[in-house]
Amino acid sequence: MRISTSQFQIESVRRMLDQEARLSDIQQKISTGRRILTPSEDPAGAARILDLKQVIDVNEQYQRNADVVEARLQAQDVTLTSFVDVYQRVRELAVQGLNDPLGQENRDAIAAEIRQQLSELMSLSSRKDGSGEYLFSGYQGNTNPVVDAGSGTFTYAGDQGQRKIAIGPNRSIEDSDNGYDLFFNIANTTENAFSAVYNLASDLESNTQTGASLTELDAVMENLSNFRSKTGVRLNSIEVQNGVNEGVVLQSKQLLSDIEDLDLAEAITELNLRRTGLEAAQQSYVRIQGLNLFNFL
Amino acid sequence: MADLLNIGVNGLLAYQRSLSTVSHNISNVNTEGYRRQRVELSTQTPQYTGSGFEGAGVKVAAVTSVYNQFVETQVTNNTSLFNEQDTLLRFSSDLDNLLADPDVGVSPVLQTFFKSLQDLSTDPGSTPVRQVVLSEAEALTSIFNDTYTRLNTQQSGVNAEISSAVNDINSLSKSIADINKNILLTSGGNTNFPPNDLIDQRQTLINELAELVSLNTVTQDDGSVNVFIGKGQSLVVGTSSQQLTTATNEFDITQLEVGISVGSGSVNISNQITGGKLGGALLFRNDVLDKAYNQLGRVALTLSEDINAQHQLGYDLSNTLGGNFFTDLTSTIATQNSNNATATNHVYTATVSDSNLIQASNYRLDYGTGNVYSLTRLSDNSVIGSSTNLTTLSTAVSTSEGFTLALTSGSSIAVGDSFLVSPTKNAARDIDMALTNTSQLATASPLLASRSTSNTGDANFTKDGLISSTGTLPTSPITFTFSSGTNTFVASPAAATTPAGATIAYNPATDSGTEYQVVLAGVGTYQFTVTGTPANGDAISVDVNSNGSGDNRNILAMINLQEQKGVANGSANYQEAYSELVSEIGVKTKRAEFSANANQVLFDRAVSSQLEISGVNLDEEAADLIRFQQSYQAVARIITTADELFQTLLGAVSR
Repeated sequence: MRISTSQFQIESVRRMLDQEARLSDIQQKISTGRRILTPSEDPAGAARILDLKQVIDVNEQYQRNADVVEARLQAQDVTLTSFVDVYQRVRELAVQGLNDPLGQENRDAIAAEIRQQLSELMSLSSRKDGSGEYLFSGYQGNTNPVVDAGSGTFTYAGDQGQRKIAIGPNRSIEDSDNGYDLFFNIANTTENAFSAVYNLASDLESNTQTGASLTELDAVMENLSNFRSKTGVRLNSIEVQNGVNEGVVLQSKQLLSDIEDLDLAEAITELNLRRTGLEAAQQSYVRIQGLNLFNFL
Repeated sequence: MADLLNIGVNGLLAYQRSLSTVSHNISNVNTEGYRRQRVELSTQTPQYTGSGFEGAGVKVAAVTSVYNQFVETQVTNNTSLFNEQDTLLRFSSDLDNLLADPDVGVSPVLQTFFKSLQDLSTDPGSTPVRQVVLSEAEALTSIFNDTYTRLNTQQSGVNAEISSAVNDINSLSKSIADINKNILLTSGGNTNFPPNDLIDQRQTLINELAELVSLNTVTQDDGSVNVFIGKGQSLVVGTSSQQLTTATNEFDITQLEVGISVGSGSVNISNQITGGKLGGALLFRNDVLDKAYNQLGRVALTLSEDINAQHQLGYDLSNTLGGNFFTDLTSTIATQNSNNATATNHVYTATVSDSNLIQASNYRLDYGTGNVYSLTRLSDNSVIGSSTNLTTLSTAVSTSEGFTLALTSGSSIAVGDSFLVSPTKNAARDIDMALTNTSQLATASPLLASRSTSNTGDANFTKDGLISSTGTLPTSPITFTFSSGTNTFVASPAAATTPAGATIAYNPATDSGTEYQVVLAGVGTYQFTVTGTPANGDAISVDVNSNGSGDNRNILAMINLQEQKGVANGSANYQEAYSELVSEIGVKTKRAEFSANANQVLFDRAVSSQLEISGVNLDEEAADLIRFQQSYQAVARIITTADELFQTLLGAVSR
């Protein structure tokens, strides 16, 4: 085969440039740690990376949401526990007050303590969450849910809304209960959680107390226990969902790493291979290019 | 003896020419496009003498360039193909790089926006969280705008490539015509001694031209070469050259087109041009860039339409129905073709009717023979519909393509007019915030169901909200009262629903958790889920949800849009539609890369075989130099010998 002098030069240089380009490509991959530098290297992989990042992002967001719901439900749980504790004390006082041999003086003293406890209940019902909104007023976060209209009339000023928050795909959970359901809409009694206590105190003061008061207090407490157990169930399902979300995030991150991350050992081997190739091309070029018949004329 | 001297002189001349040709070859070892020359020697015409034919020595029969026409044509063709794919690759990889980093670009900002909505859903009343949502939405519109601007930069790059290619083509074709002229003047018709160096120069120019555009050459008998591009458009004919021009696209002034002068005007030949840098730039624009504009725009359009629609079904902090969240992108003015009849003054508006059906394509509205309107989808050149009645066409178009067409202004139109309709192209440029104030964020749902305090059952309406709205809300509560005899809820006042006094069949034993819809007169469609067991006479009333700062129902509905496959006729969500753009550009870049590499190999191989045949080899020339030098020395000896013979003869006579 005939080879022209410039052809030899051009082709040697081209081969060296080729080797250099490959070397630079693998070097760039090693320095960024990315297997795919541009989408064209693996279009399907590049699209998959974007989609996986969305899956991870969304699930991590669900975790964040779950943390908020968990904090709110814990606040509700703590508040309801205190509420029930206070109610327990009121019930003890009621039992004491219903005891026949007591004098009016003693009953007044008991009534006074009951009123004390009532104001504690009022204060518990107007608890706020971390961002300063009332826990128990439904959607109307800026409205104090329970209004004391005087003379034993207590009204609910919030609404019956109940906020749901997404903690997983197609999985949302109520982050609180409204005051209507907690304190006012109580089965087996026409009283609400506050009027029952108020009326008990009034009855004791006027010595008209009856055993019916205890039934009313029990109805309120049963309602509250129901909601406390609902809160517990919700807290549990958050735990479960957290586990699921973490699993999805972990799995997606692993997949992402498989697609996105460079196999360093493989890359270093390739780097060495390319370097050797370039060196060989350079050395052989230097050796051959000086050969020329004119040298011997 | 005279013959001997003649033979000697002829030999000296022939080897002088040979030596000078070898020197010429050696000197031009590095000259681009130079093809080695060879002196062809032959015997002089012999003389007839009494003793038969007597040889008269050597002569230079021809000086020729060594080349193979087939290989030369291959080099020219492969130059065009390689440069086309290489230019396509250069532009595509720019775009590919632009979309490359998964940590910047539309994708992460889109996710951050929806994350901010999620945060808002956990704390809808908080002003700082609301502010974050507005800021993230603003960032989202900016990233769409920025990406659009970057596409525009690519568009300018394509335009620059086109105009510089056209300039170069014009100057090259003029040079080729000039060389044709010189060749005609200098060759003088002697085909044994062609002007090799001029022909080499012309071939070099033709190959340079081939870098810019695919061409065909035809060599004439007189030695001149004619050059044609496209579908036989002549660029060089003999000694004259035709000039190419650039002009803006008839529909879109941001696009440059290639024209060729015909008479006083010029004809657009962009779609006939293939190959070379010019063909590559045009290919990139048609195949990749236009689609990228539309795909990016479609994501922006669908997102903004969906979010707007849901936001308008919500209720804000100042107790009013939500407005547009992003600016409304639904209306596109159909562009008028500059080639339309001068009397034409029709202006059409395309309005998006269903963003989920919108395709990433431009359309052309034609007004043809028989006064028929027809609409063609340009991505696949399929005719969507045609009718003499624009409204009929519009209805057909809206069911399949998701937009309507209407005449906005103008009274005259001529047959042959056409208009460009681009529902998606500019959406990424135009997307912007409509909301400015955090209190305008409609996080709540406008209606709320409440159980009456006298209810003894536990039935409730949940997951309730408007799914369509007229923009007005009920002025007084609408009460649904349960009758256990018929297992129905009956609405009152009767006039509040359509039809009046709507009834909802609800069997507590089987229907708990079922979703219902009721049309509230003058308000819209109210959707809700009924749960629990109502007692006879239990009432649930639906009223305006005032001061519901903690209500996140509408935000939840907006969040649901993220996963909803609402793009491209239900085939993708926003993220997937954007990923599709990224991977499509990736696939096209990969294909261009593959093709450019393959063409590089073919091109290199063609150049190699060209160099194998026509390139100068210094060893070979050195050998020739020695060979011809020796021949020259030997021939010089003939002259000495003739002289010695003559001297011998003189010596013999003078004695």
